Amino acid sequence: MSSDGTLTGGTLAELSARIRRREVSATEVVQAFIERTDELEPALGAYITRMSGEALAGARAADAEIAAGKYRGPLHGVPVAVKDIYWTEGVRTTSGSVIDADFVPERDATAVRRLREAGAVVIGKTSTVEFAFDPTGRNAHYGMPKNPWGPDRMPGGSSSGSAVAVASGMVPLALGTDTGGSIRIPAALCGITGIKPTFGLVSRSGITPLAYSLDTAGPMARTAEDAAIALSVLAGHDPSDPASAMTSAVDYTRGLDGGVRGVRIGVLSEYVWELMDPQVEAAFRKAMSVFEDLGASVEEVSVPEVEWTAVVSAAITTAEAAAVHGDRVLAEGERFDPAVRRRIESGFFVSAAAYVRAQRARVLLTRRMSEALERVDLIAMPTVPMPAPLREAESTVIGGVETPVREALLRITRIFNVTRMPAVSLPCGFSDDGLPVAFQIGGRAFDDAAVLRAAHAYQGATDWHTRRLPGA
Amino acid sequence: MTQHDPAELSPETFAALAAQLGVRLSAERLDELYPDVRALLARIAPLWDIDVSAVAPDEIGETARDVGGAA
Repeated sequence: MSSDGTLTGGTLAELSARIRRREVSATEVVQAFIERTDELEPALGAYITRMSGEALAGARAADAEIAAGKYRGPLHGVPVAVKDIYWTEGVRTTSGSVIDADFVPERDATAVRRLREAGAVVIGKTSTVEFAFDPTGRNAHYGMPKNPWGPDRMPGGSSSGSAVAVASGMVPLALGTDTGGSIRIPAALCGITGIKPTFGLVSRSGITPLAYSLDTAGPMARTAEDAAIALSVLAGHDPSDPASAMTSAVDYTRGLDGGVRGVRIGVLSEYVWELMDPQVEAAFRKAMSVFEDLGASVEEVSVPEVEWTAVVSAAITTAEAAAVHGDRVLAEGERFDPAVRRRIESGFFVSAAAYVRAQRARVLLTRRMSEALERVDLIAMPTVPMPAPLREAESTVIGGVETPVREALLRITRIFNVTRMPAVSLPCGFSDDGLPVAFQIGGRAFDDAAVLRAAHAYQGATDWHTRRLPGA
Repeated sequence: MTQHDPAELSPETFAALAAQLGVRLSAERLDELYPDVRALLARIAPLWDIDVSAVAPDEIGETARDVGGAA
């Protein structure tokens, strides 16, 4: 049982342990989350498609297997929500678009298949920005989910529904995707934990692409431990994803309790701080002092090339989005969200020379960040420079500077997309008006275990990740 | 117009560029799109100030594994 006495208030790890010990059945767990979703979903709008019937059938099957001694592991019988750009066999996958409103895939995305093989029970398809091409969470077709911490605030995106579902206790684990921050931004604005794994670690096969040289897939949960449990199942080579790395299975929960004593944490001395809400910076600095108390050292590192992040990301993302979605936007443009349509169409005008130059700059920036990560073990920074903006805001004031909301949301997260390094976002406080504030810990490529270990150490010493809305 | 000076992208030049690129859009759509394209080109214009000579064009397929990863 969770600290608040409910099944839905617990972490994935807590639920999993109770299912394994047969203190509670998977059916009871799934039923509890369905009932909570029945209660909250009308107000929050986290889902595009719910799968309650299939989920209960899956839970009963899990119970039968567990009773027969065929326990599959820590995801067995645990409900999971899936962003609606992951293909699901026999269940429509809209990608947040009306164009795909009736698209029913014949197979699961590799990530979904791996979750199912581990015994997880898919409970629904969560809301996403159309084709995952916006960081606010807006969707002109299916609506923008409500941020549980402030219904007048945006949830962040593009994995908006997954963040809202986890934050409100409608599910303990959800999948998101992250091309410019789409896992970490909504995780930050909704007060949960989300990891963008190293590019190539988790297969994107069967996930509707946005920008194929930056797209990543990963878990969103309440804690780093829960994210580690999920990543252990999700990670691994998949020949059906051309960018999939030749990695072998890793148990990211092993060594999770190793702590941060002796770990060197770098804090960028430039770029990040040029546009930063003082409340967010104060919470971040306190988080760094927690790490120092835990035995880590915190020092400034300089990587001036991070200034290129927005330029590089914009050129690559728009050009690749036009390559992926261009034919459909030309043929059926009026069926797109007008803003998403313009973003995709704009990509037609990025020249081949500019695209290649952006990729060269991306590689150069990656090398500079890798050199910095020879001097330190991790690099930490706030996830987004401000708490959740108002839902309809096009601009916001940060430190007295009026800034376009989209650019502000993407400003920092994109560093780890462009460099393809792992980064986990986790809560580190609240603003004066009660909105979550978060920071992210990035690390060396394929050292996802190190960023999760540091996040777990922080969550062992603080309780920001345990803060719940009433009944959540 | 130079490739990296979006301020010189007039609506007429933009329409001609669209035609050259094979982007078949109505005049109305081109009008709607023009400010967005101009803004995007302005945003990415600093690319041309970055010295990328240390990375050959054929190195852009370099994977994360090659730059410090352990896999």
